[in-house]
Amino acid sequence: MSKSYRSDNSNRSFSTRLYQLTQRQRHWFFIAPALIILLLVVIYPIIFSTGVSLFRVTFASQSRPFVGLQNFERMLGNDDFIQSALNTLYYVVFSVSGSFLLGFAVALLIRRVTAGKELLRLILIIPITMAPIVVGLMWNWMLDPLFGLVNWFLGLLGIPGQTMLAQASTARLTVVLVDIWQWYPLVFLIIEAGMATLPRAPFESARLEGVSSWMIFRRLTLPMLRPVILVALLLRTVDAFRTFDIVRVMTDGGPHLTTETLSLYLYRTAFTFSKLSRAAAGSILMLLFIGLISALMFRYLYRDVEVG
Amino acid sequence: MKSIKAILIVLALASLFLPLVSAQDSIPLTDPETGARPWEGKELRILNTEVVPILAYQHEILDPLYEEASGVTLIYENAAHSDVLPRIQTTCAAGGDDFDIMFVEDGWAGALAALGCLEELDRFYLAAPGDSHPEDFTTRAFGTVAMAKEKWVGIPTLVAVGMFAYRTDLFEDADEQAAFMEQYGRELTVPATWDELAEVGEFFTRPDDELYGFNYRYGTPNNILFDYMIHFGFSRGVDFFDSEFNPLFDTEAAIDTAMFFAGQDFLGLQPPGRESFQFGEVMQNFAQGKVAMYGTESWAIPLLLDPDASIVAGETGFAPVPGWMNPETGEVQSALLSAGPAYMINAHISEEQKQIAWDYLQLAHGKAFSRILADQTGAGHRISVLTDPDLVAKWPHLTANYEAAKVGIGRPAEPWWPEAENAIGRALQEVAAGGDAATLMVDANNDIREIVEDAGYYDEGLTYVSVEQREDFVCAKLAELGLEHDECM
Amino acid sequence: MMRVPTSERVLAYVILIVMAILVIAPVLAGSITAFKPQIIWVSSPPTWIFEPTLENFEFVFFTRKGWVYLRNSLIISVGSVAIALLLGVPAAYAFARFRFRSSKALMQWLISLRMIPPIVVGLPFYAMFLYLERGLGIGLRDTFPGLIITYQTFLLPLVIWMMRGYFAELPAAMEESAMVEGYTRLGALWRVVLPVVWPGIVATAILNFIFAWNEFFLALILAGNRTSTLPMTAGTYIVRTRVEWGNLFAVNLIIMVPVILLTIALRRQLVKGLTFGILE
Repeated sequence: MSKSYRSDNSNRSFSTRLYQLTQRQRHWFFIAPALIILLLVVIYPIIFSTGVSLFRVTFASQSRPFVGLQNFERMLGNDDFIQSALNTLYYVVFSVSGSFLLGFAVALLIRRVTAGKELLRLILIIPITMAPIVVGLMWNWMLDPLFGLVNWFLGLLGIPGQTMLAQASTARLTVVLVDIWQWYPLVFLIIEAGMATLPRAPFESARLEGVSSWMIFRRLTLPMLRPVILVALLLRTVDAFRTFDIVRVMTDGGPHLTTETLSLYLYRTAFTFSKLSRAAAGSILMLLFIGLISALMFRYLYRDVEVG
Repeated sequence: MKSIKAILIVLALASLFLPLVSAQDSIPLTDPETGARPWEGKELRILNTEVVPILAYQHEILDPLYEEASGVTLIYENAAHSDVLPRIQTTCAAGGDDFDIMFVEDGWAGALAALGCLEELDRFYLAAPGDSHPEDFTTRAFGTVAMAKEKWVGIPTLVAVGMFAYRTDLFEDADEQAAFMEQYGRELTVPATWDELAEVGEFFTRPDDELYGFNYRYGTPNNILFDYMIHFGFSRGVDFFDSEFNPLFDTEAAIDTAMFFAGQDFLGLQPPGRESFQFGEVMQNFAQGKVAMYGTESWAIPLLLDPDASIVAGETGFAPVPGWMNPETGEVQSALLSAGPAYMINAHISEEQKQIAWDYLQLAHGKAFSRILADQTGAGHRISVLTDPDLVAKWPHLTANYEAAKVGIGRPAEPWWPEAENAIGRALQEVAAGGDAATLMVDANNDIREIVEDAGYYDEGLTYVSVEQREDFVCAKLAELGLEHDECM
Repeated sequence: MMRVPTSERVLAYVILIVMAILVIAPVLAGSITAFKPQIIWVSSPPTWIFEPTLENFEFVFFTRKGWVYLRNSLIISVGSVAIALLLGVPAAYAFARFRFRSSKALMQWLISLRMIPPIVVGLPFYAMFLYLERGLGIGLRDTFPGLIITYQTFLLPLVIWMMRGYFAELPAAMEESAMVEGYTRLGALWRVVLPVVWPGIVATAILNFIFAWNEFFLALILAGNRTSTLPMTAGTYIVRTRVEWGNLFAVNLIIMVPVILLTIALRRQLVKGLTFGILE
């Protein structure tokens, strides 16, 4: 009797506990499917890639010998890899700062506008909606040395024809300018949205006290926008870091590697030169690199904003 | 198979009457007796890139006839040229049967053969030779474009050989001749050597009149390497590799050539933008009358002679590509590279699809159609076309084209070649941008050595297939197929 | 409204209008090439007055089977967005409604997924598909399901982040009262919450559609002739002897116009999506 009672009791408490557990953990029913897919499509590939990078794998290879860290060594010792990493850094620094300054300026200016504001905003954000490959091809056409509109326009101003994409000295900058053209609206939209949420009172009182607009901007606007600015910079940084489409169609990395980005170089290594495992090693290095940069930015970001 | 033989016989007969009948009516694609269409309703997928106008003619003229006669539907998949090799490699490595026929550049064949992508064509030929006539190409061209080492894997779509175009109106102008005489103390002639080219180029370079001396292609690593090796390197005796696969880009002659070809003096005689110019732009420059001379390839000739495509079509002459004056012998050495794409059959498709693919291939790039193509467009690459008196009368440049096709030198087709080509091409581009040729070429040479080493070539003691060996491969293959070739005698 | 001195306002107008011209002029000038007959595709100085033709569109759409690529793009974009919503909306709901220990860390992890460059997942995806095909005979390379799965790498985190924001805006009392009335949690979500949050779902779907539609890199690696998307085909009009600008811009327009129309419909929601909702 007592035995059965006990077992009854433990049974009930088990089902209760199970019920409580499902109640307490019920969020997992909602989250698990998405999480499993994400683990499958993001985390597993990265693990897989790490594994591949330790072997020697090409398209044609029959055997796949284990080579340890040789692929990483070769990548780090490869001038082309280093060069494309430096180019990528160049893109990050100049495209991010350029699009940031331009986007910020537009966000400040558009507040001073009344009539036609909606239309202006709509036109100004068009580039961001275009596929990067379309943007690249369009600017190829604009910059064509023989018939491009840019040279035609410069010709009207009496400036001799330029071949921006042909010269090593200007190609990289030109691609960066096109990238800025495409992505400044992202900064503009983020900053504008951020400014809309700023409280009005401090600004009004500052203005009543006769503080100059420059000081208001420096002492009030900028500090209050700090988290928003960080978000804009972070998003632009990761986008600039992965640049592929625009460069692929505008210069395909040339002339002589001056515009090659990491994504482009790794794509070429894997799919044209058939060095799958070496490209895998390169992509892991790239991931570590971007991970480091964004981790630093995240730390600053989370200090300011409450996320999640 | 019976119907294929019937097609062949008809084709062979038809080709005899070709000069008599109008071109378009002369490709009977279906067995006229039975009207059999064994592959009615089937599809043939072709991975293609619209690389040269010749392919467009094929679509316009041959494809509709073939579809109508065979009942087969041709499905073209066009990819950007730079995407084709990655597409084929990724498809092939997975054993994909996505394409039946693939467009393969000569430099890629080695990589794809190593991957087991390419179907050997011998057995199809032996069962039903069709109109393919592999003996109708020069051995040099066939060895480069149609074969991967000793395997026959494709029928050339076109064979590109180096040609040199110039403006007859400028060279024949009495005032220009007098001015040149006064300035340089010799007659104004179409240049036969590189030094003469530089001189004449300088003479015609007048930026204020939007006229420049000449134009080469420097835009991609592939382009710049090509022209550097084709016209300049080989004429000086530079080869790609020695017999042990040691790269030869750091030799004195190779560096010297790079300094000349990619040097600022030579570049200065070409229109602005030259660093990015590829096939299209250099051709446009010539067609728009902006340059006096232009190093080109044989397939471009029809376009240069087309008044709709070129404002100087009536004033365009062709000459042998200049060469290098060997100071010791006083002899002008010139050299040409032959290259080009071929259509190849995917090894991973079903046997029936392979049969259909072969049937289309032997027609699309067969003897009869080549003749039609040459007749209509002036583009030719088969011996029978290049030596045909009627065609030569109509298109005089075919003779020069034939001479070039006989001596053209092919680039290596090793599996790692695309990577090596990229490495050296990039170094050359850097020289063109003002870099130091000596260090850059030595660096590139080391890069290539590493690429070859990575591929295990030194460990395995592999030896470089020389131009002569390639010819031997061709002759052996033709003998195997029971064919004779004058050049193999 | 801010009080802005007139001079400042005029200056703002001038600068912004110049910017707008710099943005719109290349787009318009390029796009009209799509309507030019072949002879004047390129000309210097450019031809502005001509009789518009649709022959480039005809060539691109029918001769070069643009309609097939358009269809592929639609199947892939719509399919991947649908899957992302199906998986992402419940997850977003849970993140918005349930308090649990790992929620914050998980949300941060989701943001960090946006940092992963496509090559890092594209390359192993190709290799994985290769092994599946060779080893198990499961073909995912060059199939719609294969691409739709792959696209989840960048769509799913975005859906979760955006939708979490929309759910968080709703009062929790809504489904609580529904549950008192006898609905289960799922029932309440389906019958009560979703009808209200519907506009948010549409906005999320549209923005994700734009991302999937413009995607180039993963398609370049993983699509083949059965699944080629529109952006992949633009490059095929660059041929060796010239660029077929009229045809190229016709393709560009086909890629661009739907997205611009969707953007106009969506402009207010754009920021939330583009910033991954980090700003909330």
